[in-house]
Amino acid sequence: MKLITWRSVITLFIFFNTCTVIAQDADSLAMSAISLNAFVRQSEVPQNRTVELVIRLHWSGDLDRYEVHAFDDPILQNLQIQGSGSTNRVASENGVTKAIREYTFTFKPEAIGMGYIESFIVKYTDLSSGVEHRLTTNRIPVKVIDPIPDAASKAWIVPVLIVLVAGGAFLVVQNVRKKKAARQKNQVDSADAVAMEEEYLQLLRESVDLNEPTLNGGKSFSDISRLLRRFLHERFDAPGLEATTTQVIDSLSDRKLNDRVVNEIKEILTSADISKFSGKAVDRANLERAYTIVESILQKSLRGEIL
Amino acid sequence: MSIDISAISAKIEKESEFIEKITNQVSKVIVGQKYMIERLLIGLLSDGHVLLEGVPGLAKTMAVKTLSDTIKTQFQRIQFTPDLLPADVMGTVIYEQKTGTFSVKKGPVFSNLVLADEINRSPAKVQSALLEAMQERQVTIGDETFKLPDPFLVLATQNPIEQEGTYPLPEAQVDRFMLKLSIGYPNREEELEIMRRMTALQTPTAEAVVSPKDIVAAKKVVHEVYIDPKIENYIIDIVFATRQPREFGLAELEELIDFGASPRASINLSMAARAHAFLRRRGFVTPEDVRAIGMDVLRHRIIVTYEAEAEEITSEEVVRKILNKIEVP
Repeated sequence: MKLITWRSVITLFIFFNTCTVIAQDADSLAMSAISLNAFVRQSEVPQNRTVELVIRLHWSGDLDRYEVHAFDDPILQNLQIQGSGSTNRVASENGVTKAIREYTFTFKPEAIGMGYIESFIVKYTDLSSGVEHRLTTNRIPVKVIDPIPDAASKAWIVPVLIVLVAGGAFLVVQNVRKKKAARQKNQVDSADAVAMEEEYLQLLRESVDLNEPTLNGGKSFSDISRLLRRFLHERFDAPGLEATTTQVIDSLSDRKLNDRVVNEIKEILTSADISKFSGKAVDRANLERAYTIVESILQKSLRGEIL
Repeated sequence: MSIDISAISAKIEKESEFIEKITNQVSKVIVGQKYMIERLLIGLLSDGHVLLEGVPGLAKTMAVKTLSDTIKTQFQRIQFTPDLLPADVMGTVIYEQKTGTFSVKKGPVFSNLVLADEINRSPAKVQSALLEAMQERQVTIGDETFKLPDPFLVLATQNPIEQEGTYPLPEAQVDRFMLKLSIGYPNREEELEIMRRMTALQTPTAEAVVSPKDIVAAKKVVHEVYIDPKIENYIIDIVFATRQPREFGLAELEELIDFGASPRASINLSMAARAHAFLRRRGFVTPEDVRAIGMDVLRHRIIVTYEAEAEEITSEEVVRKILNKIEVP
């Protein structure tokens, strides 16, 4: 069944896609022993491809029943011969031996348009009788169409694909590394954050001693506000010491800080501005309140309650 | 030493009452432009002349005219033209044929408020005459020297987009203006309101609600506004940063600044900051006041190099970098 199907396909292929010529001279026809098929495998060929002409002689009996004479290259129009070859086959069909001699020619089109393989004569001698006979093919047309992209022109695809795959792999590796580094950094940062708040608490205690009877209120208020500003800058990337109170407060609203904490910061910085720039003597109670609030902000931040 | 801020604050509260009246009257005519009106008041309160720069049609002249309408005072508008002469502004000596004597005819500069409209349309000799009067606050006509009235405020306008037929103010003379304002376009809502208000059958007018006496009294209080040495040093830092940027961690500005701000900048920054605090009813100056007014005081006092101009870096960008870098006290 499979064999039949395969044969049918070949037969149909030859029927539809080739120009088939079966020519026999009167003598051979009479004997019905040898037949000639000449066809091209594609009736249309892109300009940058080749087309193959097959000349098939087949007869009943052994290969040595006929001697096929050597023949010249076919005469061509708009085609160039690129190569040729021949094969011999013997097959048995329903107990009858069949010999097949096949000649193939490969042609390359010259220009877009029509190409032709002019008819030519195949001579052979029947070895049993010693009589020479001739077979003639028809003129075979070939349509030459626009060239198609050359497989060679796509040669860049392979290295590009290799580069892309390598790049993708590199990115994946980098991404994994980054994530790993970020995880490690987060761990370090949280450790730093703890250290930072403790460091600022220590600085606060060192710079302002509320038990000191001769405490310079103005300077202490200034120290407290600077310490708070530096902490906000380091911890929350708020504008640094070059920013005014309003700029610092405005920036905190974008940093999603707890509203209560923002209000406390505002109170401290505003009170500090008054004490620093108004020339007024600093009220001890205000200073103590500022100290307590800053201490509490640092402790809240340490516990992660500031956001 | 403790400063009695409460006493200063009380005085400010009393003497600044007219600010609201002026603002209300001005806002009847002018839509938006709060920045410009506030700076004009700062100029008025701190004896500082103001140069307004902006494209035509931004109500620069109207704002000045409206401000003068709210004050029961003399107002003169001088339209600067290429054929204007110094005598047209300052005044001249006229020969009286009947009496055979010379008499002085004072020019429009003898007024409390002088609007020098399109000041860059007159040649340098007229500009110089006016700018000298602005600085000296006196004018000599013939053999006689006349003091200019108090308050005396010159508000000049200029259009930055025209070059042909204009005489740009020399840098040294621009320095005489305490503030140089850069006036921008109104926003959409403001423009809609301007359109409605100005196409109404009766266009609004401002009434005179303040006397020159009120202004003079307020000016005295502005001088009393406390400025702490920390703030003074902050101002000095800013001004010095325009001259020696490297010392303030702004080495990249060194090649961009040809000439830094003069000592007049420090004086004006201090006075303008006091006036700004006064407008906020505060008896002392904070860094906020300095920062708020810093750009208007400094933008015309820094001369950028050719390299900066080639890179399209303006003096405003230089000032902004300085203000953003110098630590507040």
